[in-house]
Amino acid sequence: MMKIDPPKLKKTALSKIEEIVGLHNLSFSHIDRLNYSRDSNFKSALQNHYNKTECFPDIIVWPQTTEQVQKLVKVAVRHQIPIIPYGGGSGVCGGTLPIYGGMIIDLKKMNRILKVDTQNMLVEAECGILQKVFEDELNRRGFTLGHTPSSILCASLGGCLAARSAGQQSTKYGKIEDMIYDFEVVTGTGEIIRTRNINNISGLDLNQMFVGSEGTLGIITKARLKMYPLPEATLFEGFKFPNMETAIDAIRRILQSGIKPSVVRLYDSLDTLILLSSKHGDSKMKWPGFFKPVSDELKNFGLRLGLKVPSLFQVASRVANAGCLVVFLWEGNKRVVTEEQKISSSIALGLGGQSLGEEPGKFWLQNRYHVSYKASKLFTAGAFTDTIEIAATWDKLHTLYKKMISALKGSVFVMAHLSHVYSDGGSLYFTFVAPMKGLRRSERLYDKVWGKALTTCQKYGGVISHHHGIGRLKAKYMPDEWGEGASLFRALKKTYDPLGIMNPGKLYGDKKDKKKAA
Amino acid sequence: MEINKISQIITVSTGTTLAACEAMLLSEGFYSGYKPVEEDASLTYARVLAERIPNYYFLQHGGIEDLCVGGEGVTSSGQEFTLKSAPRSATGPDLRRMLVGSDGIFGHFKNVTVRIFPLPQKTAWGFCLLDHVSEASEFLRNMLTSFIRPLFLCVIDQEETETIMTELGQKTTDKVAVAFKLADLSALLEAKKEALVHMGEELKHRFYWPTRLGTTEKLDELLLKPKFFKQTFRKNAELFLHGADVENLAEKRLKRELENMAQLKRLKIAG
Repeated sequence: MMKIDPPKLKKTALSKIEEIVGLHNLSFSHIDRLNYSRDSNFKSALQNHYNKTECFPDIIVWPQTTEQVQKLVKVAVRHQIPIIPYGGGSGVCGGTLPIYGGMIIDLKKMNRILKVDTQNMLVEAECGILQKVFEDELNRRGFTLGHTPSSILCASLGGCLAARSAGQQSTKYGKIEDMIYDFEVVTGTGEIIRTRNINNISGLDLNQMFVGSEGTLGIITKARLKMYPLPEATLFEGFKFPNMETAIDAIRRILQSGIKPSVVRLYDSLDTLILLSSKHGDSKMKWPGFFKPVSDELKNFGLRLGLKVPSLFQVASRVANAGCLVVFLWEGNKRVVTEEQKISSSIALGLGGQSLGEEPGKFWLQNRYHVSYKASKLFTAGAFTDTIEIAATWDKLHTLYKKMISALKGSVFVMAHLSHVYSDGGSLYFTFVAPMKGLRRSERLYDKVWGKALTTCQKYGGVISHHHGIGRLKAKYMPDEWGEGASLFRALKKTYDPLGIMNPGKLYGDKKDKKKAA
Repeated sequence: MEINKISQIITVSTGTTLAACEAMLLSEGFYSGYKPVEEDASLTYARVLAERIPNYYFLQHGGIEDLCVGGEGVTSSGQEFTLKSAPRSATGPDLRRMLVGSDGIFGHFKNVTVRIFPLPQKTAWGFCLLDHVSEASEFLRNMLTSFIRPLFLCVIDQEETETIMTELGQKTTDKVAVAFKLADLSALLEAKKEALVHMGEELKHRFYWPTRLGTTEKLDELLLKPKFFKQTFRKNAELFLHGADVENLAEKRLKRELENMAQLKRLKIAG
């Protein structure tokens, strides 16, 4: 049976917190503390599966205004209570684990859309709002944020801002840091700051200091973002390329010709094999029939044999010669996107791509948010999965792809896709699956895979996160990521969180944190 | 200076002047996408970064803060560091932005890596003629939210609009005009023109497309400096009216690209 120690909060602090948010907006019950002891990071799910939880918050509070958040921070400053800002709990890097206990400030009750400004095409909302609710409401009014992460069903606006989230349409609309106009933030000193939009004018851009800081500098409580009218037209086309290198080259040339498709996704041969064999019986893409059982095997979670010798899958995909699928979506003004499709298509065909028509794109659109539900099925079938997203400039991407696959394929079943592309590079997204072998062995394997992946990424010039953030999971790799540049972050920390109470142990851990880190 | 043509980025020492960098880029078929509002031949990247000097080409390419993707620097306490070049990242706050626009308070770049762009296949000026400045807002909103991002744009008052249109042999009673310059692949540029006209039909926006232009630098000067514009417009009216064929580096570069693609395809088939 799991033992949960009583919360370590002084009575004076507790009564002050109760005074601020009211009795109905706080909890230190065992069940709530257990629920908030984890987020969507796989390792905490694994530990929960084996009835182990390493840390608990002392209290969870649900403020309803920025002023309440400010008062809570001031109480925390006075009593040196660690603060962990919380949104949807969809983060996969352990960014909200209460590793030093403390107070979870959950913004879910701050979930209103405050203003839809159609003159300036800006929308203001409180940061506890779920992205799906936010986007649906904008769609109802004829607008879109253009921010559609796979986790849209459970991610909050605040979480997206904290972790520099990217939606699936980031090539056209940008990442969340490109969408932000200004926001309100309560710093770790209890000060409320309203940032300014200073794009293309002089001055220091505070927006970009707090976005991505993962709650280590302050809590963003409300934000104004750019919005767009719903697109007049959406066009789809899929292509099959002989290999990743040619496909990467084609995508690069399309982007560098000035075209920004809404969605670009390139799947490696293994990912393509699994994706299309299971869903596209009538697809124009054909591969040897004997690989259908391989796919079915995966689909039915008969993973044991493959997971014992994971590199078999890589060999199988090469033999099957499934090729690499690229899915494009173009959206916007009908005249413009029609031309964009024509040009993109001619570049793709010119470099050896084979058109697959609209079907792969439409299929992708219908299933765009389903991926989040696959992990739990694998989990119950005795395997675990996780994803690693990195970014690099074009000249490094293919080498990084090869080196990272090579580093991981001996230990786990691994595949990758390229998405979120820009004129100067893009993000590679690796998915790995491994058998569960008890808590300790599984954790060891998990750490080994992440270690290999991130050190390989750093060795070959990639950055270790494109849109999941750092959290606790990758904090120990940040000294190598930033080098002496970390002193810039320390300067921010000294200004906005001098006591170090804001989400301690995340993003950039000191030596003490490194020992506790994953 | 080190150009990475694959990733379309360049790494320069921050003591380099923008003019020197731009000249080098032009010789290679690229341009920086950055035209500072401050005109000074001795302007260096160090100053541009420290002061975050705004960019006339902001709408299409962003400000210097968007163009800067990494670099090597020194903190104010003298520690040297490298910020990796990446198209985007989620590795904490954007530390590059602490150095851009902070006047050296936190440190400065010694070498900076910035995005560059291939010379456009075609550039063209357009005028949207309107009755009221509020219509200009509506036009701009429609244009920009449709992702039609001109290289440069300015709103011109009635007096200037009249001067320009008279020079162009057009009579006008319009009170305001939005002058903009599109830079793109030819086919895309034409599609964007069509889209703008179509969007403006209901709002009764009137468009005038002077010409397509090959030599554009002098015209930039005109529209970037409204005062200068009136005085010198006459001299350049001819260019406005008739334009020049796009027989420039951009076209040569595109031809090379197509040849390379064809060669690559042949190699693949042969392989």
